[in-house]
Amino acid sequence: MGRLVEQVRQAVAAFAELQTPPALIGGLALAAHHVVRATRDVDFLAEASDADRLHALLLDLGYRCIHRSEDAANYVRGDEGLDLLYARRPIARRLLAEAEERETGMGRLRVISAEGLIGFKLQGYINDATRTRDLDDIRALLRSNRDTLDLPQVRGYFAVFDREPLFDELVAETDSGR
Amino acid sequence: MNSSPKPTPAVSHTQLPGAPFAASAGMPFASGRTDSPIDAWMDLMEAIEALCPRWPEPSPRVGCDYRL
Repeated sequence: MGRLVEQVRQAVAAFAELQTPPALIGGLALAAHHVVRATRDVDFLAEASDADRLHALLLDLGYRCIHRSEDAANYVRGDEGLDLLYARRPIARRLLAEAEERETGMGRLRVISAEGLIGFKLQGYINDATRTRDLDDIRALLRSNRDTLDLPQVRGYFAVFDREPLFDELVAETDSGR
Repeated sequence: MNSSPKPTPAVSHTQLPGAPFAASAGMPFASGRTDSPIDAWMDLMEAIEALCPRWPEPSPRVGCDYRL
């Protein structure tokens, strides 16, 4: 078993004791939605009220916290990283509640929906416009899930960031390639 | 690693001269393995770890505009 796979498996096992286990977001969650790319980013969406409990669990696993705010936290263990985004607002709380369980080689994982993942990728891009990889991920998610995506929901996430024109552009780009 | 057919990249490297090859990079592509794309990712990362067993220490990703 690879080191990254073992890292995820260990974290997921520790999180299982929580009433609402964190759900995968970020690059690894892409794979659950048919977009596979190399990533060592281990990102979870977690209940904000579980922040202290998660902090203790991760310290027990040997991580140290290098940043923590009311919105997010970053943990490292040697060259391994694990990031938490806290679900504090209605959209994130709904997406966390609706996360699907998947049986995988890393254990039973909760994974955010493709629509929600696009929303968080957009949020990542808004926070750092040099992260064009997030836009590439959105394009790939649109391409791979075009027939099943709830596009009005996705458009709603772009509206939250006043980026509806970007949504229209990306969808048009996706459709022109079909 | 298994011997299942590997997914076909939706974007070829010939279209992307200079595309980075790093521990957390590369272009995303649609998995052709509809049975378990997570297994496909595990295979991919196992191969990458074999090529690059040591990673740079992660740095904090701090955002400021959280609206979701």
